Amino acid sequence: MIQVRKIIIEEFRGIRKLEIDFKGKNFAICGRNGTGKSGIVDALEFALTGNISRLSGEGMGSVSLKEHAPHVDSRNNPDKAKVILTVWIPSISKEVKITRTVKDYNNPTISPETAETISVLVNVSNHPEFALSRRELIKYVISTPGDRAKEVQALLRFDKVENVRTVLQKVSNAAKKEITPLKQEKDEIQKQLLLAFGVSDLKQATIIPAINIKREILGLEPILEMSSTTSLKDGLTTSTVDQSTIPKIQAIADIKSLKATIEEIKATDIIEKRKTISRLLVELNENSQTLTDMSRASFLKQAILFIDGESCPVCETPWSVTDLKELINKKLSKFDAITKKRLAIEEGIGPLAAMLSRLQSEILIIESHGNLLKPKLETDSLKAFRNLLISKITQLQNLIPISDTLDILTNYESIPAEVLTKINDIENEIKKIPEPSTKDAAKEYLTISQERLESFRGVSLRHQQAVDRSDLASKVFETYAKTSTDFLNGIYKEVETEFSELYRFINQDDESSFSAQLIPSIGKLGFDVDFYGRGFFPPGAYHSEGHQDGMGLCLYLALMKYLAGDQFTFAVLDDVLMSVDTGHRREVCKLLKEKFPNTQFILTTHDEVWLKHMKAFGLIQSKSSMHFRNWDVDNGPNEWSDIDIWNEIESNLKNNDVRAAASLLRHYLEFISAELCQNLRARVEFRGDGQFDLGDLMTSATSQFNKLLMEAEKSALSWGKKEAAAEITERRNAFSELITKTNINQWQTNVAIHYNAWANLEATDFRPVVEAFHELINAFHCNESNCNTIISVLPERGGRKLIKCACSTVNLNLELKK
Amino acid sequence: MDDKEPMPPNNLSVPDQIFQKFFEDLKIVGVSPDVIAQLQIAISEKENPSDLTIKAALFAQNNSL
Repeated sequence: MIQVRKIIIEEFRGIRKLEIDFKGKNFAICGRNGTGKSGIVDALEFALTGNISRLSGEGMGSVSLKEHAPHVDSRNNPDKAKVILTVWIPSISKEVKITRTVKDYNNPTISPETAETISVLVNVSNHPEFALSRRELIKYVISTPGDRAKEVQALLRFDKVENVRTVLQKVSNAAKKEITPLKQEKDEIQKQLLLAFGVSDLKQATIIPAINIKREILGLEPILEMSSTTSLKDGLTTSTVDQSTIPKIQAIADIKSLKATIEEIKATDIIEKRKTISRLLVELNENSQTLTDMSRASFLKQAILFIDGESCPVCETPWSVTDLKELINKKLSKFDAITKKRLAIEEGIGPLAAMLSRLQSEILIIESHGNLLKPKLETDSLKAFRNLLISKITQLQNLIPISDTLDILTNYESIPAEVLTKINDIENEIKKIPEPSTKDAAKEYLTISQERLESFRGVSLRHQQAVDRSDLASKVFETYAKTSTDFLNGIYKEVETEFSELYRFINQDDESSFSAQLIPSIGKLGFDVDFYGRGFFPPGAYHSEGHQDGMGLCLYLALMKYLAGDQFTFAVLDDVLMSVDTGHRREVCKLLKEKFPNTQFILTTHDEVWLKHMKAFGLIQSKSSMHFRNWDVDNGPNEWSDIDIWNEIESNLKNNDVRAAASLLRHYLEFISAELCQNLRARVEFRGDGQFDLGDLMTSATSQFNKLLMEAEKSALSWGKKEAAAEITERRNAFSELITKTNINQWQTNVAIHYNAWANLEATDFRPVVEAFHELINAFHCNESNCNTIISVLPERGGRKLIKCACSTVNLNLELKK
Repeated sequence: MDDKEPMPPNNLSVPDQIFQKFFEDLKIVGVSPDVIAQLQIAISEKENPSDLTIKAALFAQNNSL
């Protein structure tokens, strides 16, 4: 993996130009919604993968990377939209620069471009899980077991394991499906073969004597055993009977069989079956939504069959085959209930369709007998009826439209009168044919039996092959399911243990005995968590949103730790912990810092307090953060930076734009005075809407700082540190002078120094005001250029013990010697 | 942060380890070595083997069944 050192973003998303020096360390980006934080996350993802998942996710419709990744003003110049990322690759100790433009997003410039650097970057590019948003995080926690399995397996790069399982299952199901029609065909041909043999079963002991009677008539050697190649006609001088002659005995038997089938169709049990199926169909037909769902499910099943390239078969939108199949399967899963109903109906309808198929085959035989009659008997009505039967069978198999299927079931036994008449005509004509001699009858018997035996052998072989294929596919699938589930079980056990440990770490106060269960099954991953010893439940059942966010983070970290081990060196956490309550933030910071010391976290948050916590708990260093004050379409995100602010104000004054300078100073003072109050634990009159006046905040901050310096002075004296006390006195006096210079103490009473009046001043009059505030704000900070952090009270809660800056250059005790 | 990145303990990825065990288990349940060899090619050499690839691998020997 990598660590990010520096990023330069140009004309990309909401950013015109931005440069951030991450220095390979943890880094926080804070700003209210809409200030441009996500643009940085997008830029990181884009530089490393060439993609912006935010633009390509579900529901993004016509939004595309090429058209919408550039800044709106550069939408026609995608070559201007670019990200330059400098990363460090620890495994090969190399710094690499990646330059990627939106125009040529698939071809980044990589420098140095070596096999080693390419290999690492391709690996990162293929697996963009380094960036985690709250939307993604929560998927691990509260999704269905099927979706969770996919998400987790994709994260762990096990997607191929799941894909192979899906394909093996599909092949197994398809192989099983092939058996039924072949069995049906085999049964039909077997029936015709039994008719030809004139026996009731196909046991050797039954058929060999029947065959040998005929062979004896013809003076042929008896057959002793039937094998797969035995010819019943073996020894016959004429290998076949005259094809133009009707085998009278067989033809009569065939007609008898057909008539029996026609009667069978009208039998009571068939009528009952039809009634049952019709009832189920009527129920479906009454609900228009069910019908729509059935049609949709049917369409989606067909759609999957047509996917064969890297685009949608309907609209030709580019898609990866896997993603498109996954999307359609996800949609199909919504129709599970209706699919079950349909399967039950299909199961019942199968034998009814099979019987029509048998009727069709038997009519075909009679039709061929009719065609051999001399003079030839016209058989068009039989042919037409057979075609009708074929279309009925197809409709029964398709089921939709249901009304058509119901019609067929209602008129199931109906056979046109002309068909019955034609069958009788053929029978009568055949009966008129002179009886064959015993020898001719025996010859016909052997010839027709042989023909049907060969058909039977053919269909039996195909049926057996289908059964063997199904058995093999099923065995392979079941073996795969067991092997992969057993293997994944072991892995999930490790992840489960790690997850529980991490979660306990951030919830030591109230869930120190917490444990969790990851329960893998074929294609699913159940996830239950302990709820205060009352049992295991899904995470969303009883735990708060904040706890669920914590779980999502811990599960992600446990999975990443398993996946990358010590190579887990980089992660972007995009506003993922918005719901974690203040009480647990310290532990989250501690967790990231202590348990993942080699991982560089880029964290975004819209919550300023969170940013303060990250700094206070040492997750990020004082200089490793950005705080956006606002965003506008012309300039992009605007950062709160002390140095930049004072320069910007001065620049406005040089342009004699006092109004702009005054406005900027006012906004900055509002921001920084809130920071100061937070850090100094200053008392401010509470406002439920959080809208504090600058006057309230600034006076509270200055008064609190003064008070703290007095406490520090007293403390130093109590410990006998006169020199230190004198230094503090000096600092306090200097601070008082600065307060006087700004006239803050007259804030509420003297309108002339109120910020509302600043805009009316001349530049020369306003500059001293700016300088006074600059000096005052500086006084709250450490003077060391490497630190320059706000001096803060510690601890954050409870009795105040000291005030210090991050580098401890300022470190003043507040506790008195007892 | 460490500059040196340790090598992963196992050169085989988890999916590859699963596939390897799967092929061994297929032998145990009596699937013919020819079929296993075909499956190995289909699964190991393709990023995402399709239904057709797996079918071809599984049933290449079916005519002689």
